Amino acid sequence: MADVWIAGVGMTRIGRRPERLQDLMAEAALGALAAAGLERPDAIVVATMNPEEFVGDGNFASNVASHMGFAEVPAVRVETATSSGAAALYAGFAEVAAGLARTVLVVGGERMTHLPTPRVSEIIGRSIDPYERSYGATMPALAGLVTRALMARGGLGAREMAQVAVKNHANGARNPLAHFQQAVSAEDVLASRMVADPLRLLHCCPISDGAAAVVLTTERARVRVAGIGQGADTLALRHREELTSFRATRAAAHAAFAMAGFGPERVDFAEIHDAFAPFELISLEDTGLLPPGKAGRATLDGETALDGRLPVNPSGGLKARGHPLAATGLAQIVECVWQLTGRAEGRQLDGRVALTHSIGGLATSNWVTLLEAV
Amino acid sequence: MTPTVVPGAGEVVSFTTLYSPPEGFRSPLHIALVELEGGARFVCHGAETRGLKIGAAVAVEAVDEVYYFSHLGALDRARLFWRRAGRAGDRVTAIARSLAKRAWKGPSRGAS
Repeated sequence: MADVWIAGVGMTRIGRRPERLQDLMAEAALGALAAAGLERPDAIVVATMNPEEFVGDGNFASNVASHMGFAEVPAVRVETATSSGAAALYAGFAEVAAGLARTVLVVGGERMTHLPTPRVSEIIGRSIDPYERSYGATMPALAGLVTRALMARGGLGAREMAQVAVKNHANGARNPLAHFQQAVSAEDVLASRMVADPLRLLHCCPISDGAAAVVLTTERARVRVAGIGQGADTLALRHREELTSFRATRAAAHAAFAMAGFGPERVDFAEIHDAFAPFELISLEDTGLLPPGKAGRATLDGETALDGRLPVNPSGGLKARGHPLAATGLAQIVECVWQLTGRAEGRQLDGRVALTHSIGGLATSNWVTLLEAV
Repeated sequence: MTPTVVPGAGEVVSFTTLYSPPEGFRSPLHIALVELEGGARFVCHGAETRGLKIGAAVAVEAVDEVYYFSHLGALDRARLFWRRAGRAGDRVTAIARSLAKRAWKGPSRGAS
């Protein structure tokens, strides 16, 4: 398997955007191509979770390719619900590693804010098991079940969960591309309205528009994809033996670290899928970055803050940077590449190895990617 | 599809109250994940989750093929349960027997 390098990255500002999805994806893609110094990729991988419902367009790989003036470049679309961006990176990685293409443009995006929130929830909720959905279960509802079980396990309370949101908003305030660029206090979090008890509004990521893109290449560059892995689990939450740890993350991390040939101790910072604040805590333990049961304490102690031992979500995470579904897995890569190459002004970290973690559905298709600066 | 006979009592694995439920559901919407004797897990609706705890025993019944949980500790909830269960004559006996057996044997886990 050939080494796969990241030649360039780009992304749009995340938030409420009036542009069409095609325009957002083109903006991110052209930014990544410019950063890579590449005029035209050999192949394109496109990630959108549900453009048919969100914006009314289908055949979206060809749609985006044509829109960017690359109508003749082979393009495919990849989808694994909310982790589609990470899945697209994997597909692009595989094409380059297998020698099928020398350069691949991977671009992901979503546009949702033009729709009313109940409609957006319903569309995202279609990734839930149909039986559980028939009981009114939405993503926040299932996340509420997971969170309640997590709190009952002990060692994790309202303060720890609130601190995740406080930290990620503080980071987002330093990121000019973030959806939310203002700080919140723990009191704000605990006073925000209840969404799915015990989850409150400020524990949950926003609905956002935006796009992100990565150019992968066989040519040696400054950042290498050291490892990438997928993990899977049952569609239905009720078919799982445990609620408070995601098997899909553990399997993805295991595969990624096995490919990289090193362990979690080498990771300097991470971008974690904090669609709901407690998911950051679960995922820090599932990826092996923190020992089981320690994530809450570490967060309260500031270990995962920008100036901590293991900064987590320097971009602001899904919570503050925002969560334009299929853009997110790639936006995490963009942030890590900027951090690894000294381009994260205002929130610059000092590190050589980064981990990204993306959750698809209610943790049915999760991804872990390891990036290494050389 | 194989019909499944559902025992009348289960244990709460987790629960939540949804304040922005999807269209067609009342708000707030109480949802619990309940494990029945034998290990099968069901998503259930309930009238409320006040006082509910993970690991608590609840009654589970089906009304029009929708499963509901209700707290075994409170009298009003028990009444609600009986009223609903009354619609399925045969099941009442089965549920009563199951509950009696459970009460006789005591909780399967130590109090926590």
